[in-house]
Amino acid sequence: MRLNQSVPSNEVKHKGYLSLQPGTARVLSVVALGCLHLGSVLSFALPKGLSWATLITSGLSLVGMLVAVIMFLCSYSFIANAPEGWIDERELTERNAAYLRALQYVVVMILVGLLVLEVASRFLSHQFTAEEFTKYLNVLFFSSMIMPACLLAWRDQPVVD
Amino acid sequence: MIHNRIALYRTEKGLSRRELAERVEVNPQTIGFLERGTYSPSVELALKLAREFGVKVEAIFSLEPYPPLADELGSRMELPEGDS
Repeated sequence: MRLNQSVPSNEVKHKGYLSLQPGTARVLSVVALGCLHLGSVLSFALPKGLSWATLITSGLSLVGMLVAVIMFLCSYSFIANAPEGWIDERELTERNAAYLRALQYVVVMILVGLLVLEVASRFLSHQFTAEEFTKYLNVLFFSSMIMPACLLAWRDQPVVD
Repeated sequence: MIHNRIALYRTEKGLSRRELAERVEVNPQTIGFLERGTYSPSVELALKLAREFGVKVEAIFSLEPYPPLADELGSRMELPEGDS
């Protein structure tokens, strides 16, 4: 593995990104992914046409998306998208592992989606609407976008001199 | 798993993790990961660390766990038989 000769300091690299403590980033990652998934599951599970149900599911999805944007602007997202020369060999290894996990998540979620679709149409006589598909794809999109940064935040350790 | 004595050599040299990281051109967190044994370095980084400490790479890294330092020192301090 190549070790770059001029890895810039974190202060230089993370300029313009939100510098979050590992603990804060972990909490935000749980909130973002939790709200996105809970909002999606509840929108399928709760009865349609109820204003409170719509309010809850829309609120959860909105909070999830807003926190996902914060995660996307934080320093962990920088590591997830940085050019190779700007991160050291450990960060590169961890980034590769995080992207692999994110890919596995997407694959599993697509299979789960197909399974639910099949079960619902065959055994429950329920046909999913285009709106429901869009919601599910939205969750997949936002989750897969921030998942590498979330995984990097969970792996990170504060610097102790 | 690769065992190492980076923390020992770093302390002996009076270097902080940040200073050592700067010398071997990695992120300071990487030194912490190496010392905890949660990350195994590339050959290049291992050689850089060995050069920084002025020892052979085998002195810092080992496939076998290192014996406790106290035991190692104790065995060196033992008097030969018949000297008591």
